[in-house]
Amino acid sequence: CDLTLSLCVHFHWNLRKRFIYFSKYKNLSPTWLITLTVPLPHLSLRLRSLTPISSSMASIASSTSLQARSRHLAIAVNQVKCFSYGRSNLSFNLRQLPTRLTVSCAAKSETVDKVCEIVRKQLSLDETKKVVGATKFSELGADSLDTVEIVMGLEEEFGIEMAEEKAQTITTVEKAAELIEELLMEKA
Amino acid sequence: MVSRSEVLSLCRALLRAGRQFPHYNLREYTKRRTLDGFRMNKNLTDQSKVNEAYAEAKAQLVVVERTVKLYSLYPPKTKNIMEVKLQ
Repeated sequence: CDLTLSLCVHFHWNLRKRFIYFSKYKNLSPTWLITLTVPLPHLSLRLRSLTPISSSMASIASSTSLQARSRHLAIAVNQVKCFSYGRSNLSFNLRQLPTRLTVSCAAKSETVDKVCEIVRKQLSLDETKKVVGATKFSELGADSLDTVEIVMGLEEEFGIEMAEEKAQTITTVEKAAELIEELLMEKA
Repeated sequence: MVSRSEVLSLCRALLRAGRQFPHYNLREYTKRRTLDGFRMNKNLTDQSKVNEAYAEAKAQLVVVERTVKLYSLYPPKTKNIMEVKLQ
């Protein structure tokens, strides 16, 4: 998964070009440096603007996306100069803003389709019944034994082995597809 | 006192064991027989009967595992017609 951080960034020697927005904040010097050791080989950081808190003057990060090839990404973070009027403590929460880079860990649609197909065959459902990712097996009139059978059929189809505890947690089509993808990725 | 999850695990174990036969007919038979057997006793309410059925199934699991080992020594030489994909 990609990591999205909203940070206040001042400047870094490699990234000088990107921080054109910071011309007005040149007077603020970096007071501390954060080194992020990230285990992912490709880290894509999307820094979004934080809306300024009305009661204080805060530095705003520009929205840029950085491709860090190396495993270590050093970001100089400016100590936020907050002039709080009448408030002794002001906390900045780093909230995770939604990005266009999808972090979805949901299953792929082809897997879901395959699972739906197998479910349909096993339970002999007619074409009118809709089988979507969210359909629970109990909705389709399958009891736990039928679920066991379906899971076995899926194991055979995809050539995977599901653990006992995990297999017992499968209640919807979506969950089954997710588990299958997990196992397929582990196998690969 | 046999719990629901134990019964399901036993069913799964039997199905998994049955998959290992090299022979198509044995594979299909074990699958069909276990599912039929579990479905037949699905609505048992008397706990002693449930325990009885559970013990029976456990014994059958041992039988299946032993038979798998035996039959693996003599795998079939040709592919079964039912396993050949329709063209």
